[in-house]
Amino acid sequence: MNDSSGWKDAYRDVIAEGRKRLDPPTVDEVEALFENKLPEAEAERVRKLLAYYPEMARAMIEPFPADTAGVLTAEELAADLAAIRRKTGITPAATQTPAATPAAAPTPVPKPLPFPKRLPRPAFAVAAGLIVVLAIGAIVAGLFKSGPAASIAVTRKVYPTDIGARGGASAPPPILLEQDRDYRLELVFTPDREYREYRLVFLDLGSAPARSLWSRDHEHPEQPGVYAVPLSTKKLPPGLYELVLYGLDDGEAEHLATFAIRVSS
Amino acid sequence: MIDDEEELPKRLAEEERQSPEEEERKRKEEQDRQFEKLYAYYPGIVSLLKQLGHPLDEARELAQDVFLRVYQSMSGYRGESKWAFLQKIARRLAVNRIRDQHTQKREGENVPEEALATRPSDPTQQPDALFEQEESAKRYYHAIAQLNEKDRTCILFLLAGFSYAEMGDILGIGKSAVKSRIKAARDRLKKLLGKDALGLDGGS
Repeated sequence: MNDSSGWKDAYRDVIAEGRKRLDPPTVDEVEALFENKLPEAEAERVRKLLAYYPEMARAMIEPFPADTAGVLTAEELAADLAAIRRKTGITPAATQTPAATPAAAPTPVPKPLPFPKRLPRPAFAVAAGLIVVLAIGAIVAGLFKSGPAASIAVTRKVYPTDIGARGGASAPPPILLEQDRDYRLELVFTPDREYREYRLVFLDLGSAPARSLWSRDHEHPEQPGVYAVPLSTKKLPPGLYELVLYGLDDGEAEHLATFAIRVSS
Repeated sequence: MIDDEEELPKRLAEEERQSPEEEERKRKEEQDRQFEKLYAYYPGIVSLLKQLGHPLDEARELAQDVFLRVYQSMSGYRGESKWAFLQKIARRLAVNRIRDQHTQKREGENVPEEALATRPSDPTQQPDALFEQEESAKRYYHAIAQLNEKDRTCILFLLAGFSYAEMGDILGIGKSAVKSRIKAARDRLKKLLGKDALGLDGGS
């Protein structure tokens, strides 16, 4: 029997199973890991995820090939440069011949490429027109709509569960949310300072280990110390969840607060 | 006459002073020049993307995206460490592409099933051998599942074909520490599997 085939099969199954349970890490998380900018616990979580998405780790560590000669023909190089110029609006007249374009390369005349996939102009115009008409229709329909109003989000203030560790006070119990409702949660925290941006991660504590259901980057609190976030419990099974807030500065993530939530049936 | 002598330098200075539009035009020209110098690295980016498993056409498409991003970030580029600047953007884009593919798959879009989740059967193998292989795979699968998180992570990276040095980069530890971890994880697997824990090769 070939043992290594058995391992390969087992590996495929483990990875496939893991991918069903665990979302891939975000690009910011992966980058921060390789720049040693994550707190150890967070780094461990990302490493564990990367074990199930090894191609993401590979993309970060693969060395650049030493020899790139012959990877593209002079025509391909010229065509790609022309495509980039088109997209960026760089006029060749204003610039010198780039160093990568071989001296013998023909004038960069764009040649048809199987990409990028762009809509032709008339099709684009029709699509844009259709979007405008649909948008106006939706607004008008909304204005004249009768019947029950759309569900209104219930605002709840949430305090961190980890203040005990910081301030000595006893931690509040998880906030109780009803299933099948829309909420606007106001996460209250005590910021030591302002961060350039914030990250919020929503964890399902019901699975072992806890898995991230979503995360939001580039976020900013509405006002200092209050971070408002919409949360719908319509698709959440009853159980325990956590919202974890990080402050981000130059790719470094600092844990700021954890908010516990229990969804009841 | 005296007035003229006083006015002349002022007028010249005013003429020399550029309008904001002119300044903007020159700034853009300089930015474009810098950008096209970076294009010297374009084949390197395409090569890397090919090495990561993208077919040439896809690698070129992605590399163009990399250069578009580079162009959009040019205002933050100060002419230092071009290669690092490009690498960062290329690697980010490659990781994002992988992530998007998995996310789309999760959201139920029509993404073809990747080979990873399926087991191609080898028609040359005898049914008995196939059965035996499947049985081994099941035992290995359960053994991996019983490992603690750190050991499992190491074994998965090993099975993914990473070298010890590469694993060290990912795990944030030295090569010898990786070796110790792998040895410990292998020992645990041996305990779980007995003599069946053969054929777990990898690393270097």
